[in-house]
Amino acid sequence: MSFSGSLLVLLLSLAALGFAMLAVETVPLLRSTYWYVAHSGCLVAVYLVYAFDTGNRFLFAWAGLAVVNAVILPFLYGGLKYTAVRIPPEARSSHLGAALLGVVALAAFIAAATFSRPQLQVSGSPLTQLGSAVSLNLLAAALLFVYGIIILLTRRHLFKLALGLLIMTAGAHLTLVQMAPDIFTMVEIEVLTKVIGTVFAMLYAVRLLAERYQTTDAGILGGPGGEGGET
Amino acid sequence: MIHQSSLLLPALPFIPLLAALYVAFSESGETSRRAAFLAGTLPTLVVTAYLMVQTRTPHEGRPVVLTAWNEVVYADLLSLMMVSLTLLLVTLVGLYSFSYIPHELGQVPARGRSLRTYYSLLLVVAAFMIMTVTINHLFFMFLVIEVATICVSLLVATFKTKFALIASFKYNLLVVMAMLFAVLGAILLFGETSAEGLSLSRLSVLEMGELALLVPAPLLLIAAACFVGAFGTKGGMMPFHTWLPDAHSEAPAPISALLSGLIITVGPFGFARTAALFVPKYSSIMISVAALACASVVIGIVVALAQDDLKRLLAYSSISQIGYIFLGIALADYLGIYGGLFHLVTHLLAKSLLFLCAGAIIYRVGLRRISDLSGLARRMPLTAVCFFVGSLSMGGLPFMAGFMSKYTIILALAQAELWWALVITALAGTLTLAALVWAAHRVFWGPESEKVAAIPVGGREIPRLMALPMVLLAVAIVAVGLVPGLLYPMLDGAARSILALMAA
Repeated sequence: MSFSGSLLVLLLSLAALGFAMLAVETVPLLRSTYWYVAHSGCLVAVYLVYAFDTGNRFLFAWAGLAVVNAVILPFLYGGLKYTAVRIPPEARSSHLGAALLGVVALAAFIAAATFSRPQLQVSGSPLTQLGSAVSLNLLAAALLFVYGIIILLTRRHLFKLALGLLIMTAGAHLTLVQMAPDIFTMVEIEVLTKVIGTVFAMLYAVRLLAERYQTTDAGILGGPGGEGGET
Repeated sequence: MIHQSSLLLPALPFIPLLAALYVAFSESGETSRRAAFLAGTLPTLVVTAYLMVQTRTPHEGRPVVLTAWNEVVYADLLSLMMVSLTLLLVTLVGLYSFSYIPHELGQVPARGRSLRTYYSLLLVVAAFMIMTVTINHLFFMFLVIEVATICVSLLVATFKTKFALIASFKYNLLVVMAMLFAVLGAILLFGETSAEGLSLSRLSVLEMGELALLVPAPLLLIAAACFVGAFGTKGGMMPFHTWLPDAHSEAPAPISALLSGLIITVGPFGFARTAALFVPKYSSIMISVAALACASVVIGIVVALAQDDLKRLLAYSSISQIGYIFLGIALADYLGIYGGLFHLVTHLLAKSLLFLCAGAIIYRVGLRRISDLSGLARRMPLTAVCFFVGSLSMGGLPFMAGFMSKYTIILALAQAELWWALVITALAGTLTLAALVWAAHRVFWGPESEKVAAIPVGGREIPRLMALPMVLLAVAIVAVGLVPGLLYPMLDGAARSILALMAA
């Protein structure tokens, strides 16, 4: 991959991370959905840059997958938007989540500053520059993955947990694209299962809970095992 | 190993899938729905039995494995054992559900559609379980596990109660997250091998041993941690177990039986399939897994002792019992693997029976808190007998199936000189017996509690279709306990299959 292409991918990956953070931290859920669409749009751009730059046709399939993430899923029946408009706006930003978000953002900034300095130097071997850029892209993907885990660990709003899983999946996809771009089967796997099946099933449960109990805050809903009786 | 091509092997999952389609979209009545359900499982079971005979017969003194589609589909005796257990349990759970689910659903709107969805999902789970255990590719294995997870999570939410929906969400989230880690582990392996220009892009299960020699140790250790975490989560082993008590207790009783008896065994199965990555080069990983398994064995049963909800008690007991299975496989020798697989089968029989008994109690008296239940033996003698058989087997009482499997694992631990693990498992066995027999005593013995006494006497204990699976499972437990050699041919072949992969 070319050096400029690699840098573009890096910028887009970091933008995807930024939009993911906005999607999670935004309290009104409908607006949060639109930030998520922007996050997925960045991922589509990343895959397209990869595809055009390397000429690997499998990467167009990856871009297609990201389009599913960006467009179809949020507006599917039972998808993000459909669920978001039915959830009461009691979601509040978690302090722990905000603190960890700060840590991730700081780590991203330090890492970007540390790794990009040698790449921005005009002199030096292009091969070395390319190697560093690819490593940096992997780092961006890893940050996205880690941020997804942080959401899953710190949030109690079920809608945000579903978003967390999607963001974590996006991080895994970015890693996969860089390490094994030729595994086309993975695209099918991700489309069929995590992106459509799992998140759809999760949002179905979230929507039913929201309609019946007017909340999707796991803390308010309480945990199973307390009431006894099956039905 | 002799590789033999088989056309029947890839057809196995399609029989239940076709039946699932019929059940899902046909507007026919309950009888034809039931017939279609059984048509999806019983013929597949017959075909599996035929394939087992084929693999059990050595060719020129070497074990036979069946393959199809350029070895993407692969079945040794371990796979076929899992397929037959899947079909057996799904059939029994289906029979039980014929009476249980319509009764518990009551007269809800769109009842017919709920029933159709339920039976078709059950068949789809069976199909994807068959694919899970017969696929010879890591990525595809994760795919089918995820699809099965989605279907099971929908089954957990059958009654759409608040806690059932939360449990379903949690199960989906945690297991899929775990599978994401497994995919990440596979990416690391694939990335490394493809960078070296090696032709292992298929990530075939058969080539795991070869892969272990090619991948650098640090990378392999990270991938190993990802796999252990993923299969530990799927299996419900401590500390990855958090989804299990909620899903088991909030699902309909037959689905709890399926989850505990079958679905969680995918964890140890996947671990056994990928163990060739760690053995013999990185055996220390297996000791770490054995330590985690021991923690699961003890903590699971200690927490179970504190439960007042009968289904939750059984769920925590499952966390403990899955630890035994992981422990046996982690020993990575013949006796350990044999014991682990033996316990997989005996746990399937006993825990499914116990959950079906819990379902029978809910069906008859509508209660599941142990403190609300007392003196049920007079009203429900058959359920009482079955529950005691299941409890005694789980507790490891002699002449019950569970005794022989636990005894084999303990012998394997002694042979491996893991004395600390032996003491822990023996102690946990006693606690299991205490927890389950105590629960059985509270529920069935003594005078009737106020809540039980308030329920009118009369009528049949439970419908015949619910009683039949319970009786069959109880008879199987006693039969295996009295004649443990009944399972020897199947378990011996399955254990040797795992050892063959480790030695490859």
